[in-house]
Amino acid sequence: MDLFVIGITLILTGSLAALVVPADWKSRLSTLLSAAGCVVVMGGALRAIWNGGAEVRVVSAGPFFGDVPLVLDELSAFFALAIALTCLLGGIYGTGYLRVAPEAAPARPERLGGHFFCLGLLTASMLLVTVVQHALAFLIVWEIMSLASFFLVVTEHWKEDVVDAGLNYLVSMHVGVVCLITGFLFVGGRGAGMDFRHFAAVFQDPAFPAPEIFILFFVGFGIKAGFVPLQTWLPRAHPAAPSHVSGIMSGIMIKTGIYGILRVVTWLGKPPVELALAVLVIAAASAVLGVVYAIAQHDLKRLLAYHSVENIGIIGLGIGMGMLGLAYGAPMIALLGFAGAVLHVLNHSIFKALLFYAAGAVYRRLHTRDMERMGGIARRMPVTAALFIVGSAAICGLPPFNGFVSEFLVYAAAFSGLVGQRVALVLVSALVMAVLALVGVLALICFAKVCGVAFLGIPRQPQPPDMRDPGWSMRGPMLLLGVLALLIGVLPQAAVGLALPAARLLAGASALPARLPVIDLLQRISIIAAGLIVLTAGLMALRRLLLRGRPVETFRTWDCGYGAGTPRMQYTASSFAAPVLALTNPVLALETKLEQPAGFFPESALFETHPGNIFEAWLIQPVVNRLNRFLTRFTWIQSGSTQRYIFYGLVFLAVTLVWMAVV
Amino acid sequence: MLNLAVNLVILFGAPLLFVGVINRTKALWAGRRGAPLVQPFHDFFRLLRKGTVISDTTTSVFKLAPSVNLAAVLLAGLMVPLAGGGAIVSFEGDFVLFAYLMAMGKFARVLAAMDTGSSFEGMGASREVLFSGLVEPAFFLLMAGSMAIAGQTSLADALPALQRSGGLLQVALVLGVISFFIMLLVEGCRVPVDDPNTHLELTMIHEVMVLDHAGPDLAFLQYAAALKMVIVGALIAALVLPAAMPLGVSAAMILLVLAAVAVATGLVESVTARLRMTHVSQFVFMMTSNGLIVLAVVLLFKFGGLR
Amino acid sequence: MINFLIVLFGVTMLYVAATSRIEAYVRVLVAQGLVLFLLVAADWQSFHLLNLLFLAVETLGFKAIIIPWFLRRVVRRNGVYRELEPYIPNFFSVVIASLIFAFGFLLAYGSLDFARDIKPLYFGVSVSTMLTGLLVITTRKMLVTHVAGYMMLENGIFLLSLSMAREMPLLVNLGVLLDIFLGIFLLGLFATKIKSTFDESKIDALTHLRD
Repeated sequence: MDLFVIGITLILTGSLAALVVPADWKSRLSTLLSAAGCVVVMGGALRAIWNGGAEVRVVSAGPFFGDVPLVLDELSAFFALAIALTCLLGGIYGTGYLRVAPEAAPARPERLGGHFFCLGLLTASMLLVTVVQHALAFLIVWEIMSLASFFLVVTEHWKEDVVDAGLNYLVSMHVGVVCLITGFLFVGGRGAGMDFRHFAAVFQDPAFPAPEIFILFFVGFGIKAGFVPLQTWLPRAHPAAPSHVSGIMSGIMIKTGIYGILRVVTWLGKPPVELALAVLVIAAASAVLGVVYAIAQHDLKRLLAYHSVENIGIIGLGIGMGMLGLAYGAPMIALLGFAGAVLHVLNHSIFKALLFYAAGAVYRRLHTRDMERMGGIARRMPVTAALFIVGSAAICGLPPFNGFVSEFLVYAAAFSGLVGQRVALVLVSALVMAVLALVGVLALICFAKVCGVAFLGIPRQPQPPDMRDPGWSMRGPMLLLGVLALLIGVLPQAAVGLALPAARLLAGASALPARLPVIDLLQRISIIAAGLIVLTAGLMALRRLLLRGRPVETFRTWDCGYGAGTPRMQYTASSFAAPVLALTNPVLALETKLEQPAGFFPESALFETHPGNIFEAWLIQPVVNRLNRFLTRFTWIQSGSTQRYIFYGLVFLAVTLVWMAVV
Repeated sequence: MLNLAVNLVILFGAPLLFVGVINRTKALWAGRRGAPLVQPFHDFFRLLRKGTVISDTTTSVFKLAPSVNLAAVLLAGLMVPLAGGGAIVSFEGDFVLFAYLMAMGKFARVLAAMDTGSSFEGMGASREVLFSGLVEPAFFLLMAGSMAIAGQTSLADALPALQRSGGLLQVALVLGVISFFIMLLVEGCRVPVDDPNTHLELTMIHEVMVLDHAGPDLAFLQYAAALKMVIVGALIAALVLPAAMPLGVSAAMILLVLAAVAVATGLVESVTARLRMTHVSQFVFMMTSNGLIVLAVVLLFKFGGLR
Repeated sequence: MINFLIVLFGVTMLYVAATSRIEAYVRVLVAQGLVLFLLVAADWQSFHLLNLLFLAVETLGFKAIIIPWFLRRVVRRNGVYRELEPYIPNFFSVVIASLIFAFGFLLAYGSLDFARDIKPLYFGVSVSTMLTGLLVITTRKMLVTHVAGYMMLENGIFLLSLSMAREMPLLVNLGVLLDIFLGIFLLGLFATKIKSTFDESKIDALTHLRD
């Protein structure tokens, strides 16, 4: 716990330093302090997981707050570890990125101080969210996190769509906070006060409407996490933010919502089966719809944002299976489900951050996020392309990378349910496996599209002459993340060992054996993953041996003898995705613009498709329009004349005096 | 030890023979004599002896992909039950690793195809990911059905479970065999999903993805494709053959089943025409429908007591 | 064996949802007729001889031979061989038909408890056949397809009546026969008339019949 507090202090010092220190030192000093703080926090978290149990420190915060307990239990420690890792690498990447980034272009160096201040504040507030267990303090820290990230999103505040996205984000967050406040008030009113540690008793009291309150908290935290249909802010805010901020937000900030949901699960005890099924349905919908929408996008960062929705869905499937295990009294299923969900939090933060950072490196040089204008990046930026492909393979869950390990754990929860004796459990487990498989397939389609169209092939538009791999401040974090992805994939035992204490906490540790059979399965997976790498290397060596002494020429790609192929003749991203999109058309709301070629020698033709979002169109937009129309009736109140406002004050005073006299 | 050796021999030797049987069947059906059964072996070694031509738009992804593909498919093949009962590598949940290893191979192939910067390969890649992708959920549903009956969660132990007598489970068995046969047609890129003889626009899926590979790369890719067919054939064999048989008998039986499946594939290729592209997805979806039916039948058998 | 036939009966409906060739629908009707005949034959001990004869004639005669022959004649005479523009694409039809089939099994499972005299698998498959038949009718445009879908609906009802462990009431038989007769009669009458008057075998032209 002490390490934790020291770490947070360092981070906060760094962020304050960013405001006061002269311009040349701002980014470096604050990042250094922030990085040091993150390392210290990681050390503290690792030590907490190693020791087991919960470290508690109660901070007395005056008469208003009372005693604010800071609890670092296994769940908090794991999330703190993931947060610290992501923010550490994100900060380092950010210093390099902002140096030449398009977003920073018109900015004066002094402006960046505010940016780094918010970055430090975001890191610190996320870390505090995992340990604060006092309702009011939690809400304050949560709010600071939302505000800090809002300011980071609108870094390019001279662009209208960025501000739009930022405000959308802010409003969504506050809708979530309203749900949370209501939930906390309800629970607190039932005699638990503000201390989280008393909430479990309240939730498990039979007279308490636990499922409804759980749903309230789920909505509140789910807006932050990005479950469907509450995810409309995600695909707008993440592309609008600068790439290091997108990486941090998508990698770990949305996981604080997951943390909140898991914390509520620890209070629930034994949830009713219907609640677990509801969570599974929402998670399945998020996973499938997220990836289907991702396939339709041609903006690189928007596509990655939708993939975050999909992965939150996968985490939700793990949580749902865990809750199902709890509901049916099957502790092994619960353990595997929660372990998969928790590990996927870490894994996703690793590969999603990697993908965003690589995308940022590309954006920095090309100044465009549209995949249809990219192509052939791998020849000029080989390291970035290689790391992006590694990240893509990881996010699709392909061995030997880390995505496979966490998905395997969720599958394990499902097939443990299959051999049981309850028909409902067997049916749900089978369907969960099918949904996971479908999501994996669609993710593969999407990332084959992205890698193939953007990074491989020939450039569709002329590339700038200064296009090359980024410097070490950006390359370092990406390489480290790539190595971590591979390492966790080939040696999963360590990472799963970190996630298991949290999973045991969630699943109720009592009924489980000390040594779990799943560890043996992981060893086999590890051997085969290593075998894949070794075998590939062996086959490459064989290939080189076979080709020694034989002619190896280079020539044009086979073009059926046409001989005048242009880069525009390559397969486009929309064409690649077209077969899938044709099948999923009803949910996509694709807008098409078509100008047919006319005449015998047509000069021009136009075909554009643009994906919409049915949740925005059908769920959010009507409500917003209704609200707008209703509120425009009150615009007369804001007349702009100071005398009118003084008059309002006078009326209020008079009414109050009359009231006090009467009552 | 002998068990392992026999299994490895079957795993490595059967694919090219399988392709030979298919070609021979098609030729005989068409009234021709056809190439000798060992012709694919000759082709394979001829390709290994050749040099290669690399397209100048490609990167090292193109050079890596055939090796990654073959390695992934080989490792997946280790988990399939062959002779002597049980697979070379078998553990709980190995079917998940199996499916995702095949997916890794597919990812590598698709990236190599897109690397060439040609619209042919792009077309093939886009269709390949969709059609072989539709197979995955169906595979998992079939495995779920088998596992629910078997009470075991590894590929080698779960698949033979559908052989129990009782009219209802035999329905599941027949539908399972049909589904895996559809999977074989998709993974092996055979008519009616894809035409292995041409790479015209109408039939562009797998053959066009390998258009720019030559020499050892092409040999690796073709061998991997044949190996995939043998793997799915072995899955069909696992469904229909009893699990515990002595080594010699089971090796002979599995070779027999593989030969039968190859002949059936050849017959299907000779008799049907390639489906229109839009109809292929419906055809492959049949596998998912069958998977759902198998699951429902299994549930009725296990929990409803229906025989 | 019987269960195998029943599931086969259901699987044919999946094929109907996928295909767009009208001759395939006709072949499916033949197959369904044969399956129903085999089901009747397998259970031959629970019927009177007269009833058995009637059922055999109805299934083998009408459902498997006469009606398909008639439909094929209509198809050949009007030259419409394919159902090319359904209201929803065939892929979605297959998906929906699969879901209906799974739902049928769910019903079968549910009916294990509440209905003691209905054999559960018959019930599930017959309901799913009826629903898929309705799906075919509502999503396709050709008249011939509508009649074929209607026949499949009747086959589903027949299957359901076979599931009663007691003897099948003669009245149900007569009702089914009457429906079939009317359908074929009307179709045969109108198909040729419509073709000659409108030169159109799709039903959208028929919407012009309102004022």
